[in-house]
Amino acid sequence: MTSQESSVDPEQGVFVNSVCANCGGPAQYLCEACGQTGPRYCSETCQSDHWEKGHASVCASVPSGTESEEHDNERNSRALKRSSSKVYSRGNVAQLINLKQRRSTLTSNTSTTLINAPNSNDPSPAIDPVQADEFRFYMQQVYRIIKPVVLCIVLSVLWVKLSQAPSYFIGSSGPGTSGATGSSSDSSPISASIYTAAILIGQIIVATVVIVFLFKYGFTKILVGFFMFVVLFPLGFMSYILISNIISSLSIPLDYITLIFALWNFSAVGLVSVFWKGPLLLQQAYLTVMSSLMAFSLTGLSSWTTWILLGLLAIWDLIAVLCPFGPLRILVESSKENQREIPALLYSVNAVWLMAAPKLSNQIQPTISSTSLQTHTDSSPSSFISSVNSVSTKTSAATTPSGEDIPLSENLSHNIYNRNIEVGVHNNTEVNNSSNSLHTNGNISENNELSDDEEEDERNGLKLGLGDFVFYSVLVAQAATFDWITTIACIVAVLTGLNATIFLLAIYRKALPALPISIVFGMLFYFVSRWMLVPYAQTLGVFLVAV
Amino acid sequence: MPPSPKTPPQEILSICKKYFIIGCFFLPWLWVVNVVYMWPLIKREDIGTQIKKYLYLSIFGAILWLIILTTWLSIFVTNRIEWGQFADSISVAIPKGV
Repeated sequence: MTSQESSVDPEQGVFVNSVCANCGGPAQYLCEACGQTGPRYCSETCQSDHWEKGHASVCASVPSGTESEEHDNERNSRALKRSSSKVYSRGNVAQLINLKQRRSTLTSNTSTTLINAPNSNDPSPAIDPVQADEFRFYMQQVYRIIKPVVLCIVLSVLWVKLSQAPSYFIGSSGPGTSGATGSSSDSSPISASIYTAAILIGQIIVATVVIVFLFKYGFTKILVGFFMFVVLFPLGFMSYILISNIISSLSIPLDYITLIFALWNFSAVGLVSVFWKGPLLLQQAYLTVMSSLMAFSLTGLSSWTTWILLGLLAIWDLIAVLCPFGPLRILVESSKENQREIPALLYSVNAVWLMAAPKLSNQIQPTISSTSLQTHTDSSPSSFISSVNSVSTKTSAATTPSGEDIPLSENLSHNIYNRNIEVGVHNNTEVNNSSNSLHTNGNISENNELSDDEEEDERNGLKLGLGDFVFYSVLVAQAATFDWITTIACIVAVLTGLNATIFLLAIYRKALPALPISIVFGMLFYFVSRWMLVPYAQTLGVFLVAV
Repeated sequence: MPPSPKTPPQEILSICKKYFIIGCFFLPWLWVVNVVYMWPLIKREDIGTQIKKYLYLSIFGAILWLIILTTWLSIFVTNRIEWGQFADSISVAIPKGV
């Protein structure tokens, strides 16, 4: 080919060769596999055209037909991985996926070739540096999302164990202790439990639908206000209940003045960091603690109610996220189309400098465009995310059936958002795009780096809804009321489920429900360990002592 | 944990100021957060010396509150029994046997 021959002129450098093999215009890229001796291209489209026109048979990367297929598959899987890492970005899921695909194909075809051109490297068949980088990034993301989940679960278990400590006090043992002790008894009839669980899940569904509706039609201010209110509820009231329980169990003499002062501080700073600007770490910490508080409050339910509720939630999650008419799916899609940020409670791993007052996003700047990274778009309120939670809790609190003062709204919001494992910035689900942009903005601003960082930001962190945190913790906290063996077994089960879900996320590249797999594993492990492992261990222990 | 370096310095200064002002509502924890968050920025020239003033005020206020709290708590815990009725009314939970 003329272009190829003209390109082979190493003495004169790249410029001699820079004629596109397909269209003849100025070219900046070359075929990665062929290296310096290969054809030059000006764009990906020309490369694809040229591939079809005959480069496929001469390319150095294609010794045989099957290999080219593998190469394609590898490229596709890379695209898949990249886009899947952003599986659910609330705003620009589609864009992210597209961007990723474009990016991945572009990088695989051009940028890597561009980078490799001077070195004339052949892509190593074993591990491509780009691919290895991607793996590393992905693993890091997984690690970063598992850390807060583990922390939330551990905190919930801690609250449960503290509240179950023998009480030396007269007076105020709040609903927590009574709930904890009550939950171990199976005396409540199953039908009552089913009824309660059904009511709870009904409330959750209603809240989800309402929030989706509000979001879809743009009543963002109401949503934000709602969320704010909802965040305040667990931070204030729940902490009070928890601390009263702990004080009762541990016999700490404390006066109301100090307690109210401490609670006021805790809640106010929580509100500020979640809904307004603040350190990312603090915001993540507050969201984790809030989730554990909500989970703790749910342990007030009787045990059968909790298990039935979890089972129904898993089913609901599946429906809401995967079915075309599911509200959560609608939420994702509408945020994609409208480019609006979803004020959801999402925990994002890469949250950046937070958002100020919710500038709701009708201006979701697609992160994909990355050129227009705008710092102010970040303002997507992380508070949104948290607020969503808070909002949900609130609604539920109002409607709790008698006997349970569990804020359902919290559950609701959590459910709503937790269904989605998203990749994206924490601050806003909606802001996924913005968060991505945010992220990118932040990262770019911080690193002043090139496409690498941007790409990373885009591939950015997984996002996990806060509801997922809560319900994982609810499951483990419920297991914690029985025995340590069940606790550990359920922790392992839930984390395994989370890993499996993230893995599926990589394969399917779209928003996936985070609850079903973990809940199924968790329930299975709990019942097996409760009815088989614990008596077994106890019998063995007796044996040891006796002998 | 400091804010992004790309945020304009006026914004950083205004955030620092707002944190300080909100912290005046009995929120020493916010002052602590303010200090920890913004401390590395004290060396940046483009923000000016005002941020230093706010941070010093915050840290001074936080220490003051800490002293007040610890004093009150120690007084309460040691004298709880002698105060009798009053102490019971403001206690969250009364330990048995005391």
